[in-house]
Amino acid sequence: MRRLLTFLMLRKPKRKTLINTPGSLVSLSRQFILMSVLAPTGELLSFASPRQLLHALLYLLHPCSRKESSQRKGDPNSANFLRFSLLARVFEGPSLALRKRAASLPLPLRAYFAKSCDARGGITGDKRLCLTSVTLLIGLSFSGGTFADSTLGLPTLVVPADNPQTTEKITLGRLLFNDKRLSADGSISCASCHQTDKAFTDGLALAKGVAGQTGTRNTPSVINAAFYQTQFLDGREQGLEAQALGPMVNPVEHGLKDHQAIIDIVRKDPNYLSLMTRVFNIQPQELTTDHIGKAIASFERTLIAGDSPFDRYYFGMDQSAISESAARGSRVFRRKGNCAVCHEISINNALFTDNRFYNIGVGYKQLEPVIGEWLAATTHGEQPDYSAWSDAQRSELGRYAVTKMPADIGQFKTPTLRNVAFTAPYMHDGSIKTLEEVIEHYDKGGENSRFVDAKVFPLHLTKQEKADLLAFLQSLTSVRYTQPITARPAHE
Amino acid sequence: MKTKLFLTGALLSLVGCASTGTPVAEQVADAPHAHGHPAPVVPGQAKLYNEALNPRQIEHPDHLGFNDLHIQAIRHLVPDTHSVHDPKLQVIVHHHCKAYDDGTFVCMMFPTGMKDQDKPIGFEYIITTAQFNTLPEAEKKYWHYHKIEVARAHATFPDLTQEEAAKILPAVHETYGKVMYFQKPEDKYPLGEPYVVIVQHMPEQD
Repeated sequence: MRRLLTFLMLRKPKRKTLINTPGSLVSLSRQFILMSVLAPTGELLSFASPRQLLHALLYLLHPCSRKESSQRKGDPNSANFLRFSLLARVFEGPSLALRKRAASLPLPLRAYFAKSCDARGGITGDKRLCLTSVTLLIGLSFSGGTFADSTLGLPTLVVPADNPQTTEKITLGRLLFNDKRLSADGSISCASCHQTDKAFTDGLALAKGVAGQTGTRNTPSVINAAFYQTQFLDGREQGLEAQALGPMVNPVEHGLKDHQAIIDIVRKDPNYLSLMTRVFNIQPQELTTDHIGKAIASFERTLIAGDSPFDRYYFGMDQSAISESAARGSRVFRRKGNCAVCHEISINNALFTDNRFYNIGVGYKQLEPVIGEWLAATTHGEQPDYSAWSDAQRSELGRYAVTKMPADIGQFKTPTLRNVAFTAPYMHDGSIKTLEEVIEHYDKGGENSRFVDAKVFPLHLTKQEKADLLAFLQSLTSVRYTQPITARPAHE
Repeated sequence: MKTKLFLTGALLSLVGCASTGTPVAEQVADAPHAHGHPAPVVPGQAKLYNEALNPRQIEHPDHLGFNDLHIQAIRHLVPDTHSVHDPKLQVIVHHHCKAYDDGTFVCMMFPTGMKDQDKPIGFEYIITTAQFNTLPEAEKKYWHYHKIEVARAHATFPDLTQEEAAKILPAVHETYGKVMYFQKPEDKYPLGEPYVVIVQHMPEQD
């Protein structure tokens, strides 16, 4: 550290970056790049490049030293230091540490501190502190745009009272989420379908489970699932806690026999047992699937992502955040395209879902061969015979399977459109491969069937409007998920 | 009078078409459901009515009568800032309207969609041009002319095809609206005094 300080102090800066002239204030601020520093007060600050930061801190340190000597002499100007209390408080921690470190530096360097203000002439230490503070504050304001709020555009996350978030619980949940032992053949974890580098989907039309079996539904993303009012595409579970356990006992997903099998697997791992007992304050024999579901749900509640270019444009009022085409597309989305009726944009947040269920005319061809007989049975109050139905046909009943209301046939939950550019293929059956095809589907009014929602009808979009709508959809990608995030693997 | 009848007739005929256009209800019987017993609780499905206050879920025919016409429009909220890019100017306010025999409409105003737990924050009262002309001069400034404002508010009819919307637009154009809110959209409860939004004074929006 001493050698580094020596090197940096004796090395002549290429330009007078530190605030000797008003011009350098501007040049310094323009050079600000994102470098996060955790202030003693706990705030996360964005700062200059490392060398500029060091210069700033060292100059700050010097006035602090002069302040101390001034105080000893009873110099009233020592109060100047306190005038810049914002930065003074912020730098109190590091500046104190640096003061101590500086005091232990070899004599030549201590002399540098003592002489530097006089040597550079003109500007006193207190004025230098003032200029330093102003520069850093300017830098903070400039860099504020780069240090964005990752939840911009999202509502407040509601955490159930009986499952508060804790760091350990989240860690436990992440381990479980990635653990392939929680499957019949040890090959499938939650992360097998909800992959971090595919916005927590799998890029497949239909999910694949144990023994290479193919399911009947497209994998929905877990990102922002914490904001859904119901889980699964047919909304059959209310909360994340209950949802987490369902796939584990689904024969074509994780394939475990029953909930007891989940508990047995977790109990066999001393690390899990230790974490579980600590996190939930229970004895090992008190472990239930409820605890496992809660841990996974806690991890999933960290998978939230707002702050897309559209959010910055719309909620952040930054007109430069998206292209002209995407801006036009946002208007198509909210007007002629009728998209926002279901993919809702609210006053101060946008989930792009209304949490309701619609039949948008996808997948009806599966039901066509059997629907006549089904209707005849239900009209007469009889129980329909599903024995001859395929899994795909039963799956196409959608929300009806949950509510048993015929009006709900083929209805599926409005998904969020956040990060939709990363979640192809689309629709509950993964039958639409690209966003362009999705737009075409809606433009023509969906596949014609008696069950299609009245909100779906031909839109007559122009070629330009379709291109703009596509650009808009692509602007819904959260900055956080433009790069693959590697989840820490659990047991392999 | 003729205008009133034409307007009401045009809109009511459209209402008639819309109400029979539901693709599902005509074809299938109601789900098997024991009368006198409350409907089973299904995750995520809203109960129709309060079970303690209305245990047999009795529906009065016009309770949900604000379903004659659905309009969505922007520039219907007062912005928080002076910026022309304030998001509130772009918020879609859903108008769910009931048509009355005298040619007027009353629209419940929702700053989000009209879902079970969404609450209206006010209403827009819509009158014909002829009715507007009978108002005192001092009153007229609170009303906006739909022939001008429908386009400026980028108003659409989400439940209508383009062709259906085109049919009713001439009648809608010859009406005036007054927007009155009893609650700010971001408040949990109606606080302070009710207020009128002078829609025509809201900044132009793309």
